[in-house]
Amino acid sequence: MIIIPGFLIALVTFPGVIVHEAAHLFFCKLRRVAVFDVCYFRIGNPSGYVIHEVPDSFTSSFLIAVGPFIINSFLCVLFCFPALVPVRMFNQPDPLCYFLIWLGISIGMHAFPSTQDAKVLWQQAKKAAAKFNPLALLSFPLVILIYIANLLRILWADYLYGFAIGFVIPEMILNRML
Amino acid sequence: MKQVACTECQQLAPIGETLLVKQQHVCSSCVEGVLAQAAEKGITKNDVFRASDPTVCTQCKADNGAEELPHLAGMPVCATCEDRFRNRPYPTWLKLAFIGLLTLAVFSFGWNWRFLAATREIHQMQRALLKQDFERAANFADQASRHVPEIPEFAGMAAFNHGLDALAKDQAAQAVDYLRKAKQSPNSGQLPEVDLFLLRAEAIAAFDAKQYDDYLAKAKALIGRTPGDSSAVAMVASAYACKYAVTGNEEFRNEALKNLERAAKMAGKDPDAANYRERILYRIDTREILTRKEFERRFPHGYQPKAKP
Repeated sequence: MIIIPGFLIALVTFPGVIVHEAAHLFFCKLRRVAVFDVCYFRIGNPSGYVIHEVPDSFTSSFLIAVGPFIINSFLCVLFCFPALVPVRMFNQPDPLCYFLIWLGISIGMHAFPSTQDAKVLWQQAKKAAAKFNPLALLSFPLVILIYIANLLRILWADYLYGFAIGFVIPEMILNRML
Repeated sequence: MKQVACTECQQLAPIGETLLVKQQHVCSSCVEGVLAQAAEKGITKNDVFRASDPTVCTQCKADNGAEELPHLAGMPVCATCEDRFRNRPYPTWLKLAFIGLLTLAVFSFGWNWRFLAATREIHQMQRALLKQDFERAANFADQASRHVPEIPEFAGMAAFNHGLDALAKDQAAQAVDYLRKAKQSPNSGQLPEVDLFLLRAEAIAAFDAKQYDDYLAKAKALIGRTPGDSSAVAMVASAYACKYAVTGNEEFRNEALKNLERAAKMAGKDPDAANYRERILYRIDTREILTRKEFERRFPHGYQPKAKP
């Protein structure tokens, strides 16, 4: 197993980091949550961040935390799809295909919410669950999944997710549709 | 803007220009003196804060007169700044990059559309093959080959399907041409039984060309490849019957009848096999060689043979 420092992975897959932070910001804007600072990319830990006020509803907290999962996954499929058929099915790649694959998988790799996102979501979920918020109750297993996914990053789970969402699943759907 | 009296000099000063030292307002003129005695007065870092004027915006410093501003994260903020915080714009470079990449993805999608079209056509070809609709299968393979000429296997598939279509339509010479082309294409080993279909087409083409020695040789080669195939055995019988029809040699007649009996046992009650058998028996009875079409035209309700195998 190859262990590569996180900052190097972030550097190589920087579009994913930018999209991840932009997704947080998108849901902050959508839910009118005040944002005080945004860093789309930097060499360091964390490689990007969004500082925002504590949302007044749990739905907002939930959407802001899982926003990158939705947006990054969608964009991963969007960018990988044009390259999927020529590369995977016909083995006829071109430089643009390689670029889109790198872009798509980089974005897909950063779809998992970070442990910091999970921590915030956990804290908010505990408060909301006390008021029997159903979304908050559903969030507990999700937070556990996020932690597990982050732990499995050491086994390239983020790359495997990007590859699966960008190639394997669309290929299966395509084969069924056509 | 609100003003407050400094606890040290009792002079009025704007709240925003004072420091809170142990909850007491100290103006900027007195603060140095107070902090110089911090150790004696037991003042720590945690006891000193910048005072915030609830009527002045923390962000743009706009003065709201005597009216207090709403708080955002504990700080007074004017409506304009609050809106900017709540609807923080994306930087221009990010918007331009996103539009550029999206354009690239759309362009790539259009550029590679032919691969998607070819994938669809190959799926349609496979479905047509399952229905034994070789003509449609060949057309789909042709379209896929036109869309992706870089993959010569598609041209091979198209030739193979055209070959099967020609074979099904009794156009054996054409089938031979197509199947030879298919066999020469790269990865022709993946085409199902291409050698057998070619051999069968060559045998039928030899029959059509009245080259009965060649017909017999090809039919025997076919048995060698598929010993359990009743139609191959019937073809050998047919070839012997042709040779009998041409020469009148009884040895060929006997071989024809022997192989015909063997083919009948292998075929069971297959109606196609029965029709073929009648045609061979007619050839043996009359020494006249008819094509399938001509035979079916003359005997639409079947032929009652004289010769018994």
